[in-house]
Amino acid sequence: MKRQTLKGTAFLLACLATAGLWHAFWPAPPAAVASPEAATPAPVKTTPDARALVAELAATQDKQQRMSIAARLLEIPVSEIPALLDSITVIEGHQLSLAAKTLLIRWASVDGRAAVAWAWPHLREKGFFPQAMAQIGPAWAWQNPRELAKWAGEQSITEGAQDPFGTISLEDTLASDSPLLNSEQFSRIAASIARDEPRLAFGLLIKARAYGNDDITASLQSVEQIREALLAFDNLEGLDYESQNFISGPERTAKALFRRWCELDRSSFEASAYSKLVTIPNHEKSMSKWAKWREAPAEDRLAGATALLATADEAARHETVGGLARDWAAKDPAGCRAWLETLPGELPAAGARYFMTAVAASDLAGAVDFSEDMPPAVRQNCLADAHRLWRAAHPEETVDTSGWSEPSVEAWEDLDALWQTTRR
Amino acid sequence: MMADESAELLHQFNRHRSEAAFRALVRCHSPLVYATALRRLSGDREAARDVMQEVFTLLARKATGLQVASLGGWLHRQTCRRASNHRRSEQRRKQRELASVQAMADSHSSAADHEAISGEIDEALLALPSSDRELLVQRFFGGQDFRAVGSSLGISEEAARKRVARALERLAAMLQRRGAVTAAGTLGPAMSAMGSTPVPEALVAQISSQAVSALPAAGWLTVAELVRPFLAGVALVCLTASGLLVLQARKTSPPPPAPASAATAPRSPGLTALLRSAEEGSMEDLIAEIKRTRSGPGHALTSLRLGAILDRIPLDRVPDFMELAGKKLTVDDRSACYKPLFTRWLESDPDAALDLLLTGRHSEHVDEGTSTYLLGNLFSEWAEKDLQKAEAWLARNWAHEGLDRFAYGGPSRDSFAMEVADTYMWRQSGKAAVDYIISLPSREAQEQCLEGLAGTRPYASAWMNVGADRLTELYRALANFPDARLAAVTKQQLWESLNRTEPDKAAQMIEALGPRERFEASLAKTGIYSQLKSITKGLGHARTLHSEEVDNSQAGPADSLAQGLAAGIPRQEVLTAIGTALLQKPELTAATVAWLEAYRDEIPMDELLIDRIGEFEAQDEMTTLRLAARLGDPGQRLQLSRAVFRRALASSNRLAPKNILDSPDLPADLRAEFQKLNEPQP
Repeated sequence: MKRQTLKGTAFLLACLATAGLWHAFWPAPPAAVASPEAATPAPVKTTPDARALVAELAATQDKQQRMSIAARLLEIPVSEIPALLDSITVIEGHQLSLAAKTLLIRWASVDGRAAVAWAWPHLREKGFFPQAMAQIGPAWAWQNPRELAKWAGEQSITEGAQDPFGTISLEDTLASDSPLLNSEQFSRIAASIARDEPRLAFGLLIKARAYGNDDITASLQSVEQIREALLAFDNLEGLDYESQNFISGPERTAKALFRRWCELDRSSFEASAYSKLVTIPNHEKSMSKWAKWREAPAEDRLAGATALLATADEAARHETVGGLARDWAAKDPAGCRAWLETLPGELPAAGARYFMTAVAASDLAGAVDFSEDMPPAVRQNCLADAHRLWRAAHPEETVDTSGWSEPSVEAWEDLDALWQTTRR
Repeated sequence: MMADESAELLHQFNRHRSEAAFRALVRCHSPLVYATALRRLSGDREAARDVMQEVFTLLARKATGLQVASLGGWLHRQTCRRASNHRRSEQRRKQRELASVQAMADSHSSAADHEAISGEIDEALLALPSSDRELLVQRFFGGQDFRAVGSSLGISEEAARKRVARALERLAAMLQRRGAVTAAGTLGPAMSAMGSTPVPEALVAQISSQAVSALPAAGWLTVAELVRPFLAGVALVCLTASGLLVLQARKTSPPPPAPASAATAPRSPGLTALLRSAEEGSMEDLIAEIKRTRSGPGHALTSLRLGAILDRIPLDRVPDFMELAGKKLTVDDRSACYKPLFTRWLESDPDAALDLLLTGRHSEHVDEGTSTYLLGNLFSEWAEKDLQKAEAWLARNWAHEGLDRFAYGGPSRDSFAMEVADTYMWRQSGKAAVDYIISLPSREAQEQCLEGLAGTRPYASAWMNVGADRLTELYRALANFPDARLAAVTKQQLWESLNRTEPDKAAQMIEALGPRERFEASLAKTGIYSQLKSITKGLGHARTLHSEEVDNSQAGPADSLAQGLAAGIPRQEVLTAIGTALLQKPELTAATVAWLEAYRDEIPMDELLIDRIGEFEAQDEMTTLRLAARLGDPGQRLQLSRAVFRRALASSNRLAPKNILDSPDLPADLRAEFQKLNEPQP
């Protein structure tokens, strides 16, 4: 059947069926008396008495009651909020009143920009804008994280505002028509949108060179989120991942993201192109090997240590010897010393100071005896460690240095003379 | 949202295909759908979002024939079905995200029983008659009170209460038949705890947009093509008939309800849901509620609700709560809970609260910062309210190992003692503060407290907040301190702090003090010192102080000498005090060295130097070396200098020896000696 025919049939059927229904249910003429429904006005929803609610909120400390009153306060139309905020006590003691916070939250849930535009001129001078932002930000982020990120991206960090403690001068503040945000506030905004908009959140962090973003990175729960966050970086390949900047900056932020990725799924990180940029040590794996060695019975320690040392690459061998010596000497100094003395080349020296640290406070003679076989530079440092540990544990004891080498006696006496100056 | 509001929205959607109306519906009901999906999918957030999308897409398609009164039940049923389908079919589940959002999401936690009962409840709900299911969903998942439930069903509040109770009994019976023994009385709270999970607005917008945009799919268009002429026929006949009807009726019928205005439109249902009153329940329920609440936006209303939930924990059950929280809450969640919880406890039984914290059990369950500072903050709060009791608690626990933990720049016990001393200074008098410090059992604690009073510790602030009178009284009280040297150092530090930040107070004090004290004050301005340069007003009462360094090495010692002599102090005592003050400065300037050399015969120079060298642990090696190099005894000079270099060699700072050897003011004989140590021969 053609399309037009179908449509015509449908039209005719509808006409016939509807006419039949009208005929069947044609109403009788209306009664002269009005129906009860007509007599009773329909219930009209009224705006709560906002000022009364604000007063109630201020009058109670009971949290359940405060919740209930705040919930009613949330019902007032947004259009009434500015006037209401202008007429109530916004600041109570050292913080914004709950009523003010509630209204700002309500406002920001609908129009974050408008809430900020009210808060900045009204609260900046007394220093309460950050508190207002702490309410507006999360509420806005909840409602529209992209818009919040866009707004934050439009804000600039003035030189003074880069201070993480937020010491912005009154003069700068009053001169600025738009909010001055410090890096901490940027971080908070980023934290509030990180899970929904990782890329935008990390874009803000990079812009602000914000400090301490580990909790934001840790809030990302999937590799997809990490990948999205990495898109915020303009030039991941050009970052200096060996940088000693452990506090802030894009290289630190990127590295934190890579580490988080490895926590979530190391294999997908290693399969990605990013793994060529930076090496993220697999601490978990190595910790597990070490943990097994530590728990091994005494008779298996030597074999275990030999195996661990054999699997360590050349660069890590010194470090491995040091770690083994530290743990081993604490449990079995004689066994550890015997093992160290069997090691070739410079490896015994790599473990010497760890061995000293473990035994010096309790066995000075043994420690010094061990150090005598070390190269002179190592021996010197061993003695310095031994002196520090021994004196901390035995401040009054006289030390018998007979049998020590001359350089060792001289080192001990020097160090002891310096230590004596603290006891005056 | 009330049923009539849902009805209006559904009506608007059916009539106008209004996306705004549908979004409002999604906003209202998505918490229920999301929470149910999360429960059924063991917290798999991605999958729950997929299910939520499916359910609301279905709602968009089926909206026309739906009864509003059963919307909640319908959504619950559809969510359960789709979640089950999802579980069975999907092998592509992404990595599980055990977000804190979901109360029941911790499938690997020890909440197995609780989870099991949640699953059973969902299953049993599906098997209940739809009227019962709808009642329970509205009451417990939708968070509606009995009045609202009754209103949606056209019955009274009391009737709604009875019907809910009966529905609960039927649910309990059904659960018992399934082998899950639970009483009707405990089911309500359990279901409330399962409740709803807030859904971000962005997700609401995405879900509703996709659901509505899915409507004009191929099938829909085909039907629409047929429906359109059909409706045209209906409309034509209706128009004709209604014209006739108008003529007959003469009177108009009551106007249809107006569309929701800006003033009465549903507002922020997510926020309102956040403030739903907290229900009674077990500790497990409470934990679940905490998780859900913490998953909301991090503003004051979330904190308020969290506080209300925590208020339901009886104080004698705080340890039980911590035990459970340690297993089931994330570190962040625990940190957020413990502060309000312990603050409440502090109000009623501070001893017990602090004793529990002192055991250190909490430190296993919170992040490092919270662990370290929770005890400190509570102690500080207590000292503020009841100084004597806080002091007594500290004295009683002085040797407790829990107070070994480092906080506020020293072991906790020393820091807490500083808090007490600072409070005495602030609240009572300088003498009370000094008396307290004298009573302390350790010199380290005494030093830290005195440094706090003198303004060299960031966590003590009384010195800044009291007037010149109180500071003058403190200054005089220090004269009675048993360790005269420590008292003298404290006095110097106090003057230095005041010069740097409160010069007006320093001037007032000098006015009030006698000639000897004025001489002591002058010592702080001898050599290099800092003085206040300018103040930038910050926000509120904040201010930023800018100080500058002044080199008064030339005139300062002479001024002090004159003042000391004028005060009648013996010359040697005056010179010794000046020498001590100069050596305390962080830098030995050429003028200082020249002054020291000039008066070497009149002051016990080596003694002063040795005193200062004794502080080597707190200063860099080069500073100590400069002091040692000035010793008059050649043997002692060499020995101490060598010892300093040995420590530099052994230090973790590999550059320390090089920095010393590169220093231009290192005497040649010492450099030669150090070279030998740097490259020892076998």
